[in-house]
Amino acid sequence: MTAPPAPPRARPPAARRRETSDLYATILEVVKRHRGSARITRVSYGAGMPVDRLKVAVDRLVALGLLERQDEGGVVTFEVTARGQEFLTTYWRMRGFIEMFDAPADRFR
Amino acid sequence: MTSQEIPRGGHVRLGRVDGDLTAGPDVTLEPDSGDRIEVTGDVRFRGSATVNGSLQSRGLYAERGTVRVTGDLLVTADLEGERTTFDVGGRVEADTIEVDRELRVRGTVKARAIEIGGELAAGADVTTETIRVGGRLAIAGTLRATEAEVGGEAQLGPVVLETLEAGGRAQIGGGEVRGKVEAGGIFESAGALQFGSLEVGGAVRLGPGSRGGRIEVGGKFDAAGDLTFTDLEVGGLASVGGAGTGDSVEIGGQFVVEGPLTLTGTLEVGGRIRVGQALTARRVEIGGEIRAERAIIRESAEIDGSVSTDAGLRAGRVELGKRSEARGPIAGDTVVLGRKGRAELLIGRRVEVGADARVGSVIGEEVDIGAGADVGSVQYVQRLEMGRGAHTGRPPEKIDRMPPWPV
Repeated sequence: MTAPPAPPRARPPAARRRETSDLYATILEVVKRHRGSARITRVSYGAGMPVDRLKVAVDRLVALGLLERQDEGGVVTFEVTARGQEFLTTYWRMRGFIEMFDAPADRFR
Repeated sequence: MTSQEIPRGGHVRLGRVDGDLTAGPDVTLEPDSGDRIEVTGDVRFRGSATVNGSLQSRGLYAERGTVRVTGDLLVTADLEGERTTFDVGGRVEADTIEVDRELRVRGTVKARAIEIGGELAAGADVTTETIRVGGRLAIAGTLRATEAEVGGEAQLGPVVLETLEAGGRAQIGGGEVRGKVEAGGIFESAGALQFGSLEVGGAVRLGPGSRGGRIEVGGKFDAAGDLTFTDLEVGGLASVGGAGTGDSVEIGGQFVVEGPLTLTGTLEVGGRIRVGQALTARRVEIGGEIRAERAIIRESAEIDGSVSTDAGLRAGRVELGKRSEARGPIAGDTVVLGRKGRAELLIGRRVEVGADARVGSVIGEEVDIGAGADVGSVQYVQRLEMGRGAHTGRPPEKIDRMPPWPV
């Protein structure tokens, strides 16, 4: 006698894939905490990214005008620009909508 | 002064050092007697180091490695780590703490200012004026500070703070943030929280009995029990598990209140609202549906969709939009039902029934029935106007005075 087949397992909800926008928001939030004195190594610890990979992302953010690079006596630091802050505000607002879409539909009853 | 230098890989026993102590990479220090090494000057670690006991010094500077202290780390001036992780088994005290990478402490942390690039994890209370962490902040005890800022995620026990700012997600045990709480993503308080204001991009969950000022949330807001606030503004969905008490509410989507909702000002809901008990407000604007045990509105109620109450809705002026539906009595000084609307009972000093609407009963001092409307019964005190093709189930009845208000 064979054992009855196990009931099919419900698929766990798929984790949201980390988009480029998530990565950029993480970097900008970490830079923001250092108030204009964010060195690349310190940002790498905060964002949990290796420096070489972080440098590519930071260069892109500088090119897009979301980060500003400052060089004072050979010490390079980064600061979030007004446009970078605008991106963060928009990003979190969009995440707010996503939270709303993901909420169960039957809360009203 | 007898400053001391320990070469790379050295394993030495120390008691008291009068002066500075400099150590090369991978050193191990043991207390000579007791459990503490005392350095009257500064300690410099030029790489990883292990201290099997407590260490006390004026300043401590470490670079490129991991510094492990099994006991307490007590520094009267600055504790600094460049590309360094500190792992402390006891407590940490310093004037300022500035660490690039990580600070892990099993005991308490006390400093005037704390700045960590990566992560701070503390197993007990943290007391400081300002704490700034680039990545993650995890504190099992109570965090007492004026300013707390975290770039990534904060997982905290109880807090006593002036301001809290987290880039991503902040979870706290409860407590007090006298000023502003600002979080980009998600903010959760397991216990009751007293707050000045809340500004969160994504979602907020508050423990029962929370109270504070303005709440502004982009996405979703949930309060587990009773909630007291001044203004509640939520872009998407909101719920209050108990009683809601405040000045004004503005919800883009849907609002559920399990207990009563008592507002001194305005309630604006773009979608629908359900209130488990009585709703009280000065003015109400509902884009979709409103359900409540009863609703008492001091000035005006404008509802585009439907109203459903057990005991009725009463306002100074009630305006129900076209094709709207009302279950339960609707009462007001002025009651207006839009075109093709449906209602059970409308009662007011002045009642206007829109064209092609259907109403069970209308009672008013002055009544206007729109063209093509169908009304079961009409009672009026002063005046009745019937539009073309309007129909009543029974002949209209003129009465001497208005009956008592049903709500």
